[in-house]
Amino acid sequence: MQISDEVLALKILSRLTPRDIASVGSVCRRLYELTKNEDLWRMVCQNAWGSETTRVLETVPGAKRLGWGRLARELTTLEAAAWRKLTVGGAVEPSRCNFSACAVGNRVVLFGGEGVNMQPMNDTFCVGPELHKSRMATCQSELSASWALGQGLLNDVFVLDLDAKHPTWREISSLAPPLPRSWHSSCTLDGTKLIVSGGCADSGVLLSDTFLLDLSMEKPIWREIPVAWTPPSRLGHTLSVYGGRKILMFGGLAKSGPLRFRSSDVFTMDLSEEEPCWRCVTGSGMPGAGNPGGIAPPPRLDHVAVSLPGGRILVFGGSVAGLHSASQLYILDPTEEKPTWRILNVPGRPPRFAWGHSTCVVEGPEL
Amino acid sequence: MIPLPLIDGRTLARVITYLNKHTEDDASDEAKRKFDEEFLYGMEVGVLYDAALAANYLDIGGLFHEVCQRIADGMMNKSVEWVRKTFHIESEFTSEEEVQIKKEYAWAWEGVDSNAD
Repeated sequence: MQISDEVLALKILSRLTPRDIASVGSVCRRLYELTKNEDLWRMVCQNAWGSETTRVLETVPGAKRLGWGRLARELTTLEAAAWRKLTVGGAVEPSRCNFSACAVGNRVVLFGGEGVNMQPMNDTFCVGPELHKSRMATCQSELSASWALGQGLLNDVFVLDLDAKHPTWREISSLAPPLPRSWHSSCTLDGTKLIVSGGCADSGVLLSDTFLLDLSMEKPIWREIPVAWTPPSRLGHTLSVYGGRKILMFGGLAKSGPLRFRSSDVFTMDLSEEEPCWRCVTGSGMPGAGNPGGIAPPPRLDHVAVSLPGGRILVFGGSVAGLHSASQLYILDPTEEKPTWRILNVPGRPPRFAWGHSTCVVEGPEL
Repeated sequence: MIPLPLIDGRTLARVITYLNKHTEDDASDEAKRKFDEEFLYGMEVGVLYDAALAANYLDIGGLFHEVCQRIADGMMNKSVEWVRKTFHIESEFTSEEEVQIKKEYAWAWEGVDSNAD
C-alpha cells in the first residue's frame, strides 16, 4: 500500500522549497534517488519562483547545462554570485542619464531622464553565474548613465526588443503620460506593464505618484494608481517586483517637511488587490517606520535593487551618507513574517563607482 | 463484508467520515470545503500520511489531494530525523554514504547569511 514515486513527487515533494528537497534527499535511498530527478526539480522551481521566472530561465543558454537541480541550489544559496565585468556596445540617442530602465519580458524599456553632455561610463558590471553574457553583447544599445546636468526633463518611452534580429530602440507613443521627471523609479509587471513612481519634476518638486502603462495594449494609456496614502515623496529610489504582482519601494532621497534625507525605508504594494495600497515593511519595532529588522543598508539614493527568484530583493550601491561602503550587497525577503535585512558576502572585486547608473535583470540571475 | 487488512481502524473511520460528508446530497461545495478545513485541521503529519495511503489505496482523489497538500505544508523546515520518525523510514545508508550525502546536501541548512536566524 505504497504511494508510487511519481505520485509522491508530484503530490507532495513538488510543493516543498528547494532547501526542503535537499534536506529530504538525505533521509533514505529512495528519497535520495527521487531528488536526482530533473522533472521534480523543475516542478519545485516553478512552485517556488512562479511560472514566469521558470519560463524565462528555460530560455537562458547554459541553464539546460546546469539543470534544474543545480539552478535551484545556486539561486537559493547564491553561492555562485561573484563580481564580473561585462561590456555592452552601442548607444542611445539622445544620450541620457538618470533614466530608469527595466526588463519587460525580453524588451528593455527606457523612461524619461535628463539629457547629458558628459562622458557616459560604458561598462556594465554583473553578478551571477555566467549564463547569458553573449545575449547582452549583441544588444545594440547602451544601458549606462552618468552625472545629471539638466537639459530638460523627458517623459517619453522607448522600447528595445532584445529578441529582434537587430535590436534597436523604438519610441512608444502613449496617451496621458505622467509629469515629466527624472530620478524616478520603475519596474515591470507580468512582462507587459511598466510602473513608474516618484522622482523629481521640472519645478524641482518631489513626486510621490504611481503610474502604470500597459505595453501589451494597441494604444497604451498611462493610468495613475489611486491611493489614500503614499510614502513620503522621493527621488533616486527603486521599485522592484516580487511574488508576481507585488512591488517594493526602497530608499531614495525622501521629503521630510522642508528637508530631504536619504532613506532606507521599505514600502510594498500588492497590485493584485482590488484597491492597492502602500504598506510599511516593519520589523524594527519602531512605530510608523518603514524599516525591516536586521542589519539595514545605510540610507541611500540612486542605488540598484534587483528581484531574485523566490521573491528576495538584492540592494547594491548608490550614494550613501557618511563613510559607509556602497559596494556591500544587502538582501531582503519581504515575504518573510518578519522581513529582515541580511548582508550577502560575494567574492571578487565590486565596481569602483556604484551610483548614477541603472541596471536590470533581462533574463536569468545577472545583475 | 469486505476486509481491508491494510488500513487500521482509526484511519478507516476518518476516511468514512470524509466520504459521508462528501457524498451528502445537499452538501454544497462551500460546505464541503469548510468541512475539509475543520476535519483536517491540526492533524499530525503522521496521521495525515496514513490517511494519504488509505485514500491512495481506495482511490479517493479529493481526500488524497487535500491530505497531500497538508503533508507538504507540515514538512517544511523539518529535520532529517523528524522526517524519518514521522514517516517510519529506516535509513539504509552506510556511515560513509551518510557523510557524503550530508555534505552534498549541506546547502539545505547553510546559506550566505552572515547573521544567522
